[in-house]
Amino acid sequence: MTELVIQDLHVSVEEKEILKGLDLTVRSGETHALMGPNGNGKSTLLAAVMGNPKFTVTQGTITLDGKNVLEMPVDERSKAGLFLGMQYPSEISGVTNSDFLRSAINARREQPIGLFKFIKEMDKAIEQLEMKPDLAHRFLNDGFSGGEKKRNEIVQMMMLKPSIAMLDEIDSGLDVDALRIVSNAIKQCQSEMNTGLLIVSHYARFYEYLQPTHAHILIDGQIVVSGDQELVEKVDHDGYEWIEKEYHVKAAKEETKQPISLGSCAVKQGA
Amino acid sequence: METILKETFARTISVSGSLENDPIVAPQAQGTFFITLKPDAKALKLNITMQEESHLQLFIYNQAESAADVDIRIEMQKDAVCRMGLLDLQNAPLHWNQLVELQNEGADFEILSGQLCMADQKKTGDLEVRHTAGHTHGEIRNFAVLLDRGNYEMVANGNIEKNCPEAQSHQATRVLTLGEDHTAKVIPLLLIDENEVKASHALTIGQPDEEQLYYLQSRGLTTKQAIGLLSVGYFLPVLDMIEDQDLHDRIRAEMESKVGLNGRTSDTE
Repeated sequence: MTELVIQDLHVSVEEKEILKGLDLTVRSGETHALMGPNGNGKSTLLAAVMGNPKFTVTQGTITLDGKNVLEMPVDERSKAGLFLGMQYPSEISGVTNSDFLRSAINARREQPIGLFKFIKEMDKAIEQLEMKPDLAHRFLNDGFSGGEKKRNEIVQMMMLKPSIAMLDEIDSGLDVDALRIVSNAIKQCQSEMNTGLLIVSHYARFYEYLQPTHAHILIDGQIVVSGDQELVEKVDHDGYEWIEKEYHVKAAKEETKQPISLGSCAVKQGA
Repeated sequence: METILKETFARTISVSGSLENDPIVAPQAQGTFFITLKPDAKALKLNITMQEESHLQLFIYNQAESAADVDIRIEMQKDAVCRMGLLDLQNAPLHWNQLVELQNEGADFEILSGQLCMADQKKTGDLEVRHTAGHTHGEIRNFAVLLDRGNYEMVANGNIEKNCPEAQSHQATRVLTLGEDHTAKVIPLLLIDENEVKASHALTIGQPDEEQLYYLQSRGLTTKQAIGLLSVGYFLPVLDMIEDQDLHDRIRAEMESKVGLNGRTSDTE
């Protein structure tokens, strides 16, 4: 049984506090749905747990089976069993998917994985996600469509077998068939490894497939209400306004960047 | 020493100490020429003449453990085609000088080089592809990875002389800087004395993208391993010029070991 425990977590980005005292526990086999309006801290939470250097933890603790996650560099967090399926996976030209995954698997083993075993496992994951067979030889996410990138994140999850997997809007960019395929792969991975899941999505349909055991609404950097699948359905039906009224919170507004004037060229002033 | 390469050939040479060789690739001959600079190699001097319609795949793999000089001259006649690779991952200086003359129409030369530059070991290159006839094609592509205190200097010169219409000269040099206190000096030159030509040059020198490093680390790779993987990606186009699969795999394994990819390693190692 693996247990990820987050207590009183405060996280800032460029000195602006995004998470303001968040508590959450995810255990093996559980599926947690994390919902909330845009710009209120869902992605920040996942990135902070994974150790993205852009996010600064200013207060609180994160432990994985009692070990202090905050003291671990990013790679150690992965090797300890954490996985983050990213909303915007990086494109890395020159590095093939197979080289990348073989290196990632070998990084957590004393002896390198046998080539035959690796190919067999990768082929199985590619087949399960119904991706093109040449995936292994393509450069990592380079030239991939949005949907292919998301499926590739799940291929990686299946190969790396994490004990706690966090998926950040992994369903965005997927068509209805792809959503079903990805959901089935996630469920199979969970059933084989008893993985604990923390899933960020805006869509009830994705959660219908995954059947969350827990659901949380994150507003203005804090989890204001928790429940189960019924909470997901209520949010899908009624939105977030009732939560703001009932729990006396106000959702942070997502900042949209305004164009900045760099000044203007000299203009001739009329007399 | 003059050697004539005829018909179909696959020649392999290992250089210990110094070697001077003047191969002539006979008309319509085609084949591969693989040269390994052994750990005790000091100098290699090649004067290659490629006669009409000859095809040559030339590859130089440096394993010299101390400073080495490589001096290459290639003369290419009508419709001769040469694809050349140079791979140098050694922790030792290399001084590389090369002049390619495209002397008749249809001559076509391409080089890909990959060099790993480690602490205080200076790698210098001075390459010129000189077009002395029209309808010729020359391409230079250099890839270098600089680690702590690595030192890389490259002059890449595409030179199209007068009365060479429709000549094409292209070049790109890409330098990935890792670690600290490294020095990279790249001079891309295009000397063109003819109006109707196509020519281009590109140069990038920079550090790896932070988002890419984070992505690789988030899958369990240490910083060193992530950088190693990015480095392999830089050298892959050069390595992929080797058609012999066993040799390709062996050199690749050596490459991965040198950039710190093998096994569980920590950044403190």
